[in-house]
Order: sequence, then structure tokens, then C-alpha cells
Amino acid sequence: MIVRIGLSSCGIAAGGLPVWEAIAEEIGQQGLDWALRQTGCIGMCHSEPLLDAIHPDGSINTYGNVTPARAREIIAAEASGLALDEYRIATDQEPNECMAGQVRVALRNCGSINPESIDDYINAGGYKALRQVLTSMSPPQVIEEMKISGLRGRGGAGFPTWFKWNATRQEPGDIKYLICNADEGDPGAFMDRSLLEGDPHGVLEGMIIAAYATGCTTGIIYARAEYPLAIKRLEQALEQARQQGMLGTGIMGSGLSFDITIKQGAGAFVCGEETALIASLEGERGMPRLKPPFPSQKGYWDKPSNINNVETFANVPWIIVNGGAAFAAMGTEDSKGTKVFALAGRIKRGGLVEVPMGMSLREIIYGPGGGIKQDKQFKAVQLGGPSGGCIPESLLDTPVDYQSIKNTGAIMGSGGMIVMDETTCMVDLARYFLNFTQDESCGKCVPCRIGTKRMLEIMERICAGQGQPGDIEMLETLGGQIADGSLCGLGNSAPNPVLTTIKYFRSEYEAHINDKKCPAKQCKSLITYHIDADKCKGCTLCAKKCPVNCISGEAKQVHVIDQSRCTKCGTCLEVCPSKWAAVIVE
Amino acid sequence: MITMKINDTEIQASAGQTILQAARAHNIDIPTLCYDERVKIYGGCGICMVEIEGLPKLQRACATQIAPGMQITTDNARIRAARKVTLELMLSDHVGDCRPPCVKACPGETDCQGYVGLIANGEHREALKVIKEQLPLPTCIGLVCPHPCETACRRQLVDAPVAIAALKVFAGEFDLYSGNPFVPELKAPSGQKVAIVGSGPAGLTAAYFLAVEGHQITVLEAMPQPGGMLRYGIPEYRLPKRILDQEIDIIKSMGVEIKTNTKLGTDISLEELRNNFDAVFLGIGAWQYSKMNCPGEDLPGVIGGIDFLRDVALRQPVQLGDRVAVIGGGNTAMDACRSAVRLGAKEVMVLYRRTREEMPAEDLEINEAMEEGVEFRYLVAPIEILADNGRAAAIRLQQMQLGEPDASGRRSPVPIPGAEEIIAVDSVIAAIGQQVDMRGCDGVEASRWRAINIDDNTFMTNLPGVFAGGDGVTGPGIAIAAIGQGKKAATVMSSYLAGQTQPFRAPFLVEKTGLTRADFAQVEPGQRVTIEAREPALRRTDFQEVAGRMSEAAARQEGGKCMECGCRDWFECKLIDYANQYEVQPGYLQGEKHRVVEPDPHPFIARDAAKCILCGLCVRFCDEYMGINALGLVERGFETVVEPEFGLPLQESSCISCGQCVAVCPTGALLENYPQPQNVPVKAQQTPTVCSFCGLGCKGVAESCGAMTIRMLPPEEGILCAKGRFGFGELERERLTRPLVRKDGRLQEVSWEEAIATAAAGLGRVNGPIAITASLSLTCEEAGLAALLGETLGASLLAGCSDYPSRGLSEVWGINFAAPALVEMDGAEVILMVGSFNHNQVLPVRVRQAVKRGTRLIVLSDEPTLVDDIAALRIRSGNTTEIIKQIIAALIEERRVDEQLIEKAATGWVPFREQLAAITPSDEARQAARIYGGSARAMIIADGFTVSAAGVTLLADLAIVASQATDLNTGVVVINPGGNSTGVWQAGFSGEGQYLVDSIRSNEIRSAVIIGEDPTSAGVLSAQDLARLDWLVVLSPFLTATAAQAEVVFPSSTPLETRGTYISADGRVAALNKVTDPLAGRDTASILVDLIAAVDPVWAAQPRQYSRESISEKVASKQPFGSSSPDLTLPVGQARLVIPAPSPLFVPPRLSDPALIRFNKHGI
Amino acid sequence: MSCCDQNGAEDAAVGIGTAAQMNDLQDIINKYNGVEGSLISVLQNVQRIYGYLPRPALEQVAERLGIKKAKIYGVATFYAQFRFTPVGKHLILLCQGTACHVNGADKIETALCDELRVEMGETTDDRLFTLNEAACLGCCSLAPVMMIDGQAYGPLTPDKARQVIRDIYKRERQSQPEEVGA
Repeated sequence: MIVRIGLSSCGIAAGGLPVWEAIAEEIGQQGLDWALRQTGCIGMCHSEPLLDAIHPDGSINTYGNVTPARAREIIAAEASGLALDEYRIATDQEPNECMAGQVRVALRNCGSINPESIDDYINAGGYKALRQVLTSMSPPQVIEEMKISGLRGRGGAGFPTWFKWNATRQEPGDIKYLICNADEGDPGAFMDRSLLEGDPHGVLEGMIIAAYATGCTTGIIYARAEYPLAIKRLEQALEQARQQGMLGTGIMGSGLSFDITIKQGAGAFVCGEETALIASLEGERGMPRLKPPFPSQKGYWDKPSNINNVETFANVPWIIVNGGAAFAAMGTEDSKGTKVFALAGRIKRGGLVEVPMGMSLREIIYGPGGGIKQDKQFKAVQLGGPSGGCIPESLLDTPVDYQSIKNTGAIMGSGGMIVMDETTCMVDLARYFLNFTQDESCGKCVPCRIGTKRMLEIMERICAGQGQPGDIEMLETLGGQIADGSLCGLGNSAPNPVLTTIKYFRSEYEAHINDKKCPAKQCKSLITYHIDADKCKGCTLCAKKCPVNCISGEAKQVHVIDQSRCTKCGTCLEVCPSKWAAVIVE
Repeated sequence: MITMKINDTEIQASAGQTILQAARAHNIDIPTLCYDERVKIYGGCGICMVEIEGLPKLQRACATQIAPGMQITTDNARIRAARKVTLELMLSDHVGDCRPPCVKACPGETDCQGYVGLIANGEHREALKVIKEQLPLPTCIGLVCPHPCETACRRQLVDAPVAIAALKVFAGEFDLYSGNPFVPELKAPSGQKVAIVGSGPAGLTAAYFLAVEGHQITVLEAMPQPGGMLRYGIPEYRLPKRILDQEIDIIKSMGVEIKTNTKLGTDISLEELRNNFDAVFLGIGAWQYSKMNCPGEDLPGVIGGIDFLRDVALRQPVQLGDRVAVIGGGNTAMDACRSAVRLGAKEVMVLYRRTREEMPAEDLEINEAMEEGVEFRYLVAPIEILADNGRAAAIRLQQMQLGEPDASGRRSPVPIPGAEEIIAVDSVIAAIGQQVDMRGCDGVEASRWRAINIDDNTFMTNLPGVFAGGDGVTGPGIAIAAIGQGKKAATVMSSYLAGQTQPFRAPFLVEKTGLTRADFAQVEPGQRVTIEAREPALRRTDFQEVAGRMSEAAARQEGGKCMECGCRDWFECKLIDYANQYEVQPGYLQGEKHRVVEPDPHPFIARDAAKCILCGLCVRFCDEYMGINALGLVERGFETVVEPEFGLPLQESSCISCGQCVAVCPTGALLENYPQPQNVPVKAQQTPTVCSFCGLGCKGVAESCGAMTIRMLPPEEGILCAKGRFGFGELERERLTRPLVRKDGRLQEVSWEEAIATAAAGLGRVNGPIAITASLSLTCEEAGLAALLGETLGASLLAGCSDYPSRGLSEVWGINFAAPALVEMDGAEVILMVGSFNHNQVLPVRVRQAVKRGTRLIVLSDEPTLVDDIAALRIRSGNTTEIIKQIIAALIEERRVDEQLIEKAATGWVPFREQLAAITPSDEARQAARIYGGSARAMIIADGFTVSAAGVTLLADLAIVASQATDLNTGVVVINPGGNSTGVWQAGFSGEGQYLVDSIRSNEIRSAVIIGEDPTSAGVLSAQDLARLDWLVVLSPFLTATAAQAEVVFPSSTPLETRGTYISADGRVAALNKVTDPLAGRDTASILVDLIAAVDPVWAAQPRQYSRESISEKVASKQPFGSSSPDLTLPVGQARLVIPAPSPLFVPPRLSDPALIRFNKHGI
Repeated sequence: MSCCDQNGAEDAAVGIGTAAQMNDLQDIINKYNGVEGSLISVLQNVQRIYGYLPRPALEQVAERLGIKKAKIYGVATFYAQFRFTPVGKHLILLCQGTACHVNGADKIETALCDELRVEMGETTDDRLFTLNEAACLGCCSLAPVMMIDGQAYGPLTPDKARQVIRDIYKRERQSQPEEVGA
């Protein structure tokens, strides 16, 4: 029997480590001859910590939301050959409903193998693709296979992968660099983190194959410093791969020599942009430069450089083993294969899902995603992070492919999918994204540096109830000019969240500006908290919890909020027992 | 070549060019604020956007490469809109004052900051010129203007406003009494005629500026004399009419014809004017007094204020009687009441319907009227003039109280019902307002307030070609407002006359607002100048001028209080230029502005982060081009600022003060500090010249205004070092202006004649050898004259007191310079740089450029250099010449020498080789020998500020031995201190400083003439040494330590005040141009000529045959190279290989140039 | 404690940190000497040694690695990771990601600021905690999240966040009673 615990960052954050300790202790105390294994994120982050009980016959019981106490119960039950249905959320026969509709290519090993073990990876079919490439394919054949697969860059822009590879391959020069962009910066996206934590070798194998195809001699993984676990596992994986001859000189006995180093980012979203990333790798301020020349012509140290993101590389071994055609069979005409999405926000089952391209937003959100938290009203879904846009309910049936998403005004992006319900203020959300990009602007070009700042100031004004007629139009004009005039993708797309929310939720803006109301009741300056005298039972809870002590009232008497001192923190609303629901927001 | 289209025109451009480069090559301007060809493309400013057919987005022209068949549009509505928004965004975060509050407050846009500052700097005539760019009557306006400029002056947040108006009077009178009043240059006659009706401020101003444009002007004046209200509305005691006459005379001297006693409508009709002239300007004023609208108004004894003043001015008898009531509270009322006092009225009272607080008259006027005994009664209004004997005898007054504020914000008077009184008077002067009398303006449309109606922007009336301005348009206003209209109308009229009417458009200006006292807490409060007025008792008896004047010293001091609010970059700011081109209106983009960094205490560079637009040019230039990287981008996003490393003050960073950052800054974020007390933004005169501080011969552009040189700029696409850029400032400070002769043991100012006679007598009297020393920054001509003086005096030694290492070259080659032009550096395979060149850092920067193109660099220096990071080999010498010998020895040992070639080129090879046989080269020396000797084209550059002459001799040997100097005129360049060491040597000043010292100490030299040098401060000659001399004459711009020892000191000219020839270290001849006139009135050459003439017996015998010109000719004939380029080739085989006595390789510089000595005190 | 609490200027006078820190600094400088483009890695290591970037250490890096000081300063101020002042013993990173934002990260911030009596970006008087923002910690499904010393906590409520802080305080009090409230 094997007990497997999900110990990705999410699993650990949800309390996976104490569970691990509890089980280890329990197994030891009970003297069980069980193996305890760790694995990466399977995607059911909403149910973390996860525990798999893998029986010798191969059957699996999956338990969710495990605590140390529950773990002991589960071990006890499993030890006696029983499943503990109370906590069981899936079995190998009956996968969790969040897996419905998922096809796992990039995530093929996540949540099943031990990411810290190269043997696990090899046993799961790892490095087969590399061997195949090295023994039976020429670099042009590899590129051709990629072309057949139709794989497009998963980092956001969706540029055909084979084209980039080919461009780098065609450039003259002995020294070429292969760079893996693991600077996953979109707030709300964590596909790359999960992949690196859950299946680091899958990414490495993709890189080695790419190096073979492009003629790159040196590989660099540019990883966010905020992902310490991913970096740790990558370092382990690199070491293991070197030991087993997958990296270094004469890889797998072939003539291919290639090695990879990790460089850590230092906290700049803009470094996700290729040229800024290169500047950062060279130890400079991460300021983008103009293209052309493209990195494939003049990249790292002015040498030809091929840059792909983590998920793109993770798809490569699967495509080689299963053939480009198999990949192309999935998805749509212009967007082939599968795509990993990070579901987050006001969604029931937040986590990672991988689905074929072309599935509709509705299918994803209400299928694997399980719908809206507390079954509230869906309002919008944000795609593409701060560079993307908000898609309203009327467009929920939009198929998820590059072009269809672009047509809505959003972008596919790296795969962050933030779901919003009626409690989300779209103006505030757009302000939030703009605040992010404004903060992350490198400061080089005027439209982005000052333009986003001015737009943000207008947004802040609107959220603070100081919007003026004409603000919406000014945002549209400025947004258009910033999108047009900025130097790099960050500035080009920074106005998107504002422009799409204006497009689809103009009335919310108008309510803020003209009526000084926030329909979602989120913008503090536009709301007030009251206590309904008819409902208040005088339990004193709100008065006790109020951080500024602005609620008065004797026990069992109606309480009153002093509006002049209220900071609108919402604590009273939170603590007021739901059976009374005496606190009202207006 | 690529064929493509820009703006529908087919052009050919070289492949690889960007759109911006291709467009510029075809004179198509694409705006940019962040592009400079010398540094990498950046793309930050984003205003070079152009449209390329087929591409949906606008593209950056600076970064987009051209492609065949490309179709580019550089200007259309979409592009303009994009550029406009980008500029507006920039401006929304650009904090400063383009123009100072005083200028903005002036309806005539007088450049107050400009002239006030110029006065502070002693440039009174320049100040006057600045004033006259806006108005032709400076003194008159200074005397009468209620100076809105002073009301706006921020100095009052410290103490009191600067006395701007009084300073204008100072500048005006300074000019009027200069004997040579300024008359502007007139453009060539246009052949067009303009009639101007009215010779008041508006008409005269229009006449003046239209005359400057070359038009023929006729002014028609109804009154007997010109001047309009200035003559007939302002009493003599405020504006003496002789001043008005003087200023009008200047206008007349420009060809403006003024026909007096010619009234429009009576003597000539508007139609006639329109028929006979190409344009007409109506400056008819507002001459009709406003009625009080009360019964009895038309009685004899009631007179309009303006009529009264006019009659007084015309000296017509006015019967006032003893008791005079003046109705009204404006300046006309004050003029009337004070005139009435002067006419002898016993009791003069001003009746005003509000209170003192609301009175529109100037405070000064009110106070002076009170001092003169005028009685003021407030809150009364006449309701009836009562008669006695058919003549006004009393006024019935309604008493008033103040009610609610009216539209103008003043509280309006409300009658108190029933409260009336009657006062007895002999006459009543109604001074409550004036109106325009449009009779004669046939066909001209009137405005709602019954004045002339004009288009606000073109100043044109409804009649084509008929323009108008001044009171006739606006109703009664202040003179400067009429002048402002006259000037603007004249500008529009000129464009109208040229065929295309350009409406006036108020420029966009960036303004700082909300400043308080606290913002100027660091400004030391001072005292506003007091201008004495005549005693009241005295002045009330006559019409003599009341106001006194300030002294020049007071004026300079007062001008120095200006806080320089307006941006110094105004005249060259690219940002504001574009802002106005693109008609920006950034008002809608209010928001957070950039955080402002404390002022940087750097002596030469002023930084103002609030004006920075982050084009990055300074940072990129400092890093990429100069190789310094003292400035960097700090933080990111909106928070980004340009700062020196770790936020330190610039001077504490690695900054080398080359000022290149300032030169490339497109806005006022980085500025030069001027050497003068006030930093005045002016349209400066630009003079191309050459730097006088070292032999590199860097070109520069000197900017001057009057007698001040304010900046030295690098030439376009060129650079200067700190000395070249800012060293000139030391030539501007603490100058001698008068000759000095020692009398009673003390140097005293004397006349030029006396000084020449004394100096010559002394030189003639002294028995014994004479030495003459010449500064290395003298021109060839000056040096030639100095040598001629020596010849005339029979001097036994011509020398220079500066260290002069290139004499080391002459040991080997016989001449002290080499001919490889420094531009050949760019083609050199290897450069051996000896010495740090920290004293002339242009050179390392040029080395950097060469290395970028592939040159290999060897640096031999004990000090850190600017190019250490790019050196292929870096050697520290241990400071003896041994290292060079080792390199030569390594060449010989490793058989890298071609003996045949050497023997063909030079003598002494065999003994030379033998002397080096014992030397064991170090590894570094071998490495250097391999790099240097292994190259086909290697060049040695020696730092003449630090390398010893012995070192230079060895370097010349090295060049010959390595066959890098086979034709003997290539191989080694020594950059000496002083701009013309080569030329001065050629003139004969080859004597060594040390020999001079020895000769003085051994009493062999008995007298000396020291020209332009300060050997005492340089430590070459001590005061005791000089005291040994029987007679010492010094020519110096400054009272130096050397000059202080002299018997006679002549205030000589600086290189900025001299025209002449320099020969650079590499033998190029350059023209030194005169930037400003010699401060003392005479230049060095003329002083020398006079000295020669005074000591030459031929002159004494036949003075008439010996002119200055003939002396100059004589010098020219002796000049080393005449005026054409010298032949710098030497006959083959004349070099001598010599090994100098062992000596240090690097010698600390002893500089006897006083400007360098002073500059070095800045620690740069 | 070492002298890394002091500001840069004082460090210069007394050397840069403890002997061990100085050794580590030399090791880092030696390791990256001649490695082009390694500035960010060097800075990350310097920060690892000192907890922040002391100016004297940067000056030494500049001198020894031949990197211009303005460049070091420019790079160090560009990236969010680098600090010029020491942080508290525990570094709290409050995630500002989208998921956290829509799930009420601002309320967590209010609670933390109140609990620690600091503003965002500040360090508590006892130097135990520094509260900082993080763009996104990538734990979006557990939003709202914070990370303390590399350990993520989520999903948080204001009360839960306060409790985490109190627990750490409790541990601190038990281990080093003299330090608290110093």
C-alpha cells in the first residue's frame, strides 16, 4: 500500500506537511509496511490537502481536505481495509467530478508521480521522447512534428512554437541559447508553478528536445524567486538528469551536448516580456527593448535565443511520443491541443484543469469548476490576467481558443481564469488590474509610465465616488493611445481590463460616476453600513469586533454605527450572525 | 540602396537605416526627445510615431528599419493626435515654470526675469535690448507702469517684490545716457507701407515693431506732439516729457514718420489711408471722459479729468479756483488732484464712492497725493453740481455704504437713504472713467462697449487690412497693456503683409502653482531698494519729477534678488517647442507629479528631477558614450528617476563634470550653472571657437550675452571635458579692468598710456638680460608679437613656465609635435595610452569609441583611467621610465624590430640598442611589446599633463624602434596643457621653465615680461625669485600672485576675448574666435604692439611710419605657419634615437595657466 | 544580533556585518568574479547574507566585480525583491493576486496592519515582523493567502490571519523571552 500526499505549494499551504507528519507517525506507530510518497498538484486545490491511498491492486481512494486528525482516521480505516467514505472524494474508478472533461497532456504526471524522483518520471514514460528524438529524428523532423502538432506558445501571445524553433535554428552561429520563461507573473495564474513542482522533468525533457531541434548549446530557466519549492525541485531534477546522462556532454550517448542553469528573477512582472527577460538575465534593469531584432536573431548576449514558457515545453515530450497529429486532433482549427487553466476567484472548485481547446467558458466554469461559490450569480470571467479582459455572461458560450477569446477583447494569456460573481465590482476589478500593471511598468516609455498612472488615478477617483462625467470617454481615449503607443506588451495590453469592463459593464461605471453607487457594494467610499433596528438582537458581537469601536449599544439593545467614524471594513457584516443578518450595506 | 516612400515622395535610403535616419537624410523632420545617433536606440519618448501602410499600429520611427517599398506617413491627424497625447502625458508630470510669474503677469510679456538678471550681472545694455524686444519705451513705461509684474513677483514670499519697474527705468536711462542708445537692426525694406493712427503706446509700439520688419511707417497724430496719453494723460511730475521725447526720437531714427496735428476723419479719412497704405493700425486711445450723469454736470467749472490733464500738458490756462473736488478713485483722479495741487489750488479733495480699500489707484500715488495735502473723502457720490453765477459752486453729495460684492469682487456702494450733504467748491474734475471716441473710424464696427471691435487673435477690424489695439479697443487701460496689443498686432500685421495672416496664439506654458512662503524658506531675506522721492513740500509747488533714481550698485543688488523662477531652458527646450507645435492642452490629465529631489550642490550642473521626462539620454550618454555611468535610472515605473549612484550628490559620484548629460537633456532637468551671479535665460550669441585648455584642440560653441560668456557647449555631435565645458567660467571671474603701476610700493590704477610708458621705461632702463615668458594658451599671433617684443628688447630668453613634456619629442625628432591626426585613432589597430588623461578626458572617450570599433588598447598609468574597463592590457609603471625601456628591450629581444628601417629613419641605433641590452623586460612589458609591436598601425598617446619629457622621448624612441613611426611623422601624440603649446613653441618660446628659474636665481636674468602666466601660484617661481628681478612686467587678465609682484600689470585679454590661431598637439590649425570684447578694453595683442612701439627706437624716431598694422604684418611674416596649414612632414633620417637620463615617468603637473589653477580648486 | 540592523553608513565604519557575513560576501564576490551578467544573482546573495543590501557591501561588489555603482543601484531599485533597509525577523508577504483580491485580501491587510500596528511595507518596532506585499504567490485556489518565511497560509480570514501572527509571537516569547518588547 502506498499513501501519497499532494505536497505542492498549494498542498503545503493548505496544511499538507502536518498531515504528512501525522501519517508518518501513524504508520510508524501502527507498524504498517506502507510507503509514504509525495506528489505534485493534481489540480484539485480546492480540496487540498489531498491524500491518495493506493492499494496493491492499483485501486485508489482519494481523500480531500485532510487534517492530521482526519488522516489518522483514514489510516485507521484503510489499515482495516475500509474506505472512509466521509472524506473520500474520488477513486480511480470514479474520478472527482472536477476531472470531468479534462484531458491531461501537460499535466500528465502532475499529482501522480513523485516530482522529486527521476525514476518515477522514467517509469511513467519519461525521457522516452528524448531517446526517440536522439535516435531516430533529425532536428528538422522534430520541428516538422511540432508544426504538425500546431502547438502555440502557452505564455500568452500564442506564437507557433515550431516557427520560433525554426527561426532560431536558421540563425547562423555556434552559440545559441534556449530559455525557459518560468517567470509566471500574472496574478491569478499558477500553471507553471504546478508544472515545475509536480513534474519538473517533463519541462526539462521538453527543453532538451528543443535544444536538439534548435541547435542551442545552453539552457536557462528564468524562474520567479517567489516559487522557492519549484526552484528546489528543478535543481534536484537537474542534478538527477545530469547524473543519468540526460544533460551534459553527449546526452544519452548521442552527439548532443546541452546543460541548463536556473536564474532567479527578482520580482518584476515585466520580465515576462522576452526582451526584458533577457535584460534581466544579463543583470540589467528589466526594461524591454524594441523588436526587431527578435530574440531569435539577437537575444541573450546578442546571440540567437529561443524562449518558450514552461507549459509549452511540458507539452513537447507528449507530442513526440504520441505524434503531432494526436495533439492536433484535439482542440480547434487554429488552436490545437489542450490548455491548462488556473481557476480561481469566486468559483467552487478552484484549481488547475487541462481541457481541449475549444471547450466553452461555460463548460469549464460549470464543469470542472463546479460553478460559482455559494451559487451566487455569475458576473464575469477574467482571462489573461492584467493584460487580458473580462468576459460577461452573455459571452459565456465563447469557445476557448486564441481567436475567439481575442474577439471578446480579452486574450487567452497564460491561462489564468478568475471568476467573478455579483459581489465583485467590475470597476474596482479593473482598477485593481490597472494598479498592478501601473506598479509593474518598467518606466521606460511615456504612454505606459504616465498613461497608466493617469488612468489609474481616474479609476481611483471613480471608485472613491469622485468620478466626473466624461471620465469614461477619457479612459477610452487614453486607453487607446496607451495600447497603441506603448513599447512592449505590458503597456499595449495594460488598458485591456479597463476597456473590456467599460465595454461590457458600462452601467457599473455610470452608477459609480453618476449615481455615486457601487452596485456590487465593494467600493468603500460609495457604501454605508447600517444596523437594521428590526433585526438587531443586541448580541454585541459587532461592537466587540469593530476595529475602530464605532458601534455602540447595550447588550440586548439595538446597536448603532457611528457613520462618521466607520471605516467600512465590513467586520460587522461578517460577524453578525447570519440568522439575524442585521447589518445592511447600501 | 532602398527605394521607399515618405509622405508620398519616393526616396532612396541606405539599407539598415531607421525611418528616422532616412527621413532626416531627406530633411524630413520627425520629432523625437530620446534619440541620439551616438547611443543605442531607446524608444522611450514615443513621439516619433509614424504610420506605415499595411501596419495597423503606429510605429516608432527611431527604431523601425526601412524596407523596400515601405510607404511611410510622418504627419497626419492620427499621428498628431498620438504625439499630442504623449506630450500631454509627459507634461502632466513636468513641474516647473516655463516662464516666471512676472513675465506672465505683464500684459506686454516683458522679459522681466531676463532684464533684471542681466542688470544684476552688469549687462545693462543687454538688459535694455531684452526690454526692447517687447516694448520701445522702456524708461517711460518703467516710470508710469503700475507693474503687475511686481504684484506677481514671488520674492514677496521672502521679503518684498523685486523693484522690477524701477530697474526698467535704470536700464532705459542707462541706455539713453550711454551716448549710443540702442537702435534695433531693421530688416531689408519690404516695400510695404503702414499707416498708424495715434502715437500713444499702442501706436508707437506697432510702429516700432513694424519698422523693424522693414515696413515703411507713417504715424498720424491729432495732437501737436506725439506720445498720446503718455504725453497728455500723465503729468510731467510722473513722466518728464524730455524722456518721452528721447525714446520717441529713437523710433523716429528708425525711419518712422510721425505727422502731428493730423486728425483722422478731419484731416484725413480712413478710406484715404486704406487706399494709400497696405495696412492701417488704429491706436486711437480712449480720450473722452465719462459723464457723471448728474444735474449740473455741464456747468462751467466742471471739467473731465482727462481734459484737465491734457490742458495742463498743453500749458493751457485752467481756472480751478481755490477749492477743487476730484471725483473718482483711479490713477487719473490721482494725476488730476496732484496736478491741481501743483497749479496752486488751496484745497483739493478726492471724492470716492467706496473706501480706500477699493480704490483702484496705485498705493504709491494715493500716499504721495496725501503727502501733498490732498484730502480724501470716501463713501460719497455726487448727485448734483450746484451753480452760483452760472458756474459750479457746490456739490450735493450722497453718502454711501458698502453692499454686496459685485461681479468684479469689489463691494459695491449703496446709497444711505436721506444722508446727503453739500460742500462748496470752485471747480469739479470728473475722473470716473474714459471712453473711446470713434469719430473718424468710418465703417469700423464698434463693440458692445462702444470701442473698436477686433478679432481677438488677429487684431483685425471688420475692415480688411485695418487693425486696431490699445485703449481704442479695450477702453482705458494701462500703457503696458496697449503696448502688448501693439506688439501682437504688429506681428500679425507683418504676417498679413507677407500674404498669410498668422493669428496670435498664446503659447502653452508649464506653471508651478500653490507656492508658499515655506517653499522659499532657504532664501535669505533682504531689503528692497528704496527710491527716494522729492520732499512733498517742495514737489507740490512745481511739476518737476517726483521719483528719484537708484545707483548702479543698488540696481545690481536689487536685480540680484530675483529668484530666477522661470526655466533657464526656455529658449532651447525641445519639450515646450513640441508642446506648442502640437497645441497641447494637458489640463485634463491632472494627477500625481514626480517627486522632487533636493537641489544638487554640483558647482556646474543643476539637476531638477521634476522637469525630467526620462528620455534616458543623460544616463545612456554617460554610460554608453562616456563610459562613466555616474547617472542611472533608479526605481521603476512612475517612480523612476534619474539619480547619481546611491542617490548621492553628483559631485560625490563618479561624475567627471563633462556636462554631456546637460548637453543632451532636451528639457530643463539638467542645466549648466552660469559663472555669473544670476542665471539668466537669454537668447545668447553663439560663437564657434576652440578650447584653450589643452592641445587636443576640441571645438566648442561659446554662448555669450554682452560681455558675459555664459556657456561653452560641445559642438553638435562632439564632446568637451570638464575644463572645456566649464573652465571658461574661471576666465570670467575677478578680472582686472585697469592697468596697474607700482607707486609707493603699491599697485595703483593708472591710464593705459601711463602704464605703457612706465613699463617701457623700466625695460629700457634695466641693464642686463631680459626674459619673456608666454602662456601656452596665447594665440600664434600673440606669441609672435611677444617674440617680436623680445627681439626688440634684445631678450636673451624666450620661455614658458608650464611643464611642457612634448619637448621630449624634439629630442628625437627636432620638433615638438607629431603629425598623426588624432582622427587616425579611429583607424589604429592598437593604442598605447600613457598617463591617465584625467586632466583632459575627451581623449579617453575618443579612445573608447576607437575600441568599440575594434582597436586594442594598452593603458600605462598609475592612476585609474576612464578606459581601464576596456583595456586589453593595463600596466602600472611603478613610476619610472624603466617600463618603456623594458618594452623597447622586449621588442629587440623578441626580434620584433626591422633594423634596416630603423637605420633609414634615425641615427644612433647601435649605441641605443647596446644601452638597452642589459635590461630584462617584465612579463607586462613583453605583453605590451607583443601587442604594440605586432600591430601594423599602432599609435601612442601621451598625457602631457602628467607624463615627463623624458618619458616622451622614450615613447618617440619606441615608436621608431617598433617601426610605427617610419616616416617620422606618425606614432606619438602628446597632449600638452594649454591650447597652443605647439604654436607658442614655434614662435620661439622653447626655453624651459627650469632654465628660467635657474637664470633668475643666478642673477643672469635681470628683468622679465610674463605674459598670461602665473608661475608663482604654479610653484615654478616663488615670490622671492621674482623679487630678485629689477623690473617685472606682467600681462594677465587677473591679479595673480605673480602680477602682485610686478612693477606694471596690464589687464590682458583671455582666449575668449581674442581672435587668432591655435595649433593643436597633432598639428592642426584652428581658429580661435573672439566671443566677447576684452573686458579691459584692450586685447593682449594691442598691449604688446604698444609695448613694442614704446621700446623700439625706430618708433621713437619715426612714429608715423610705424603703425600697429605694420607691426602685425611683421609678426605675420615671422609666424611659423602663416595662416595656412603647416607642412608637417620631416625629412627622412633626421631622427635621433636617444636615451634620456633616468627620471620618473609621471610628474605631477605644474600648471602656470591661472585659469587652470583656479579651475583645479573645484576638485574636478 | 549582528550589526546588520544598522544603516549603511555605520556599516562602513565598522566593516560590513559580522566576520562570517564578511566571509560569505567575499565568497560570493569570488564566485561571480568574471561571470558576466551575474549582478542580480550577486545581489540576491548579498541580500541573503545581510537580509538587505547594505551600501558598503554594494560598493565592494562594484569595486571587485568592476560593475558601475549607478548600475548596481539602478538594478537594485528596479526589482521588488531588493531592500535597502533590514527587515524584521519574520517577513510576511501578503498576496495581492487577483484571486486574493476578489476574495478579500484588503480585509486581511487591514487585520494584519491592525494586529502588527504597522502600515504595509513597515517593520514592527520590536523588529520581529515586516509586512510586505507580493504580486502573486501562485496559491490562488487558497485565496486569500500570505506567506511567512516561505510558508504559505490560506485561505485566510481576518481572524485566522491574526491568529497566525499571535502564534508566532507566542513561539517567540517562549524561545527568546528577552527579545520581545525590547
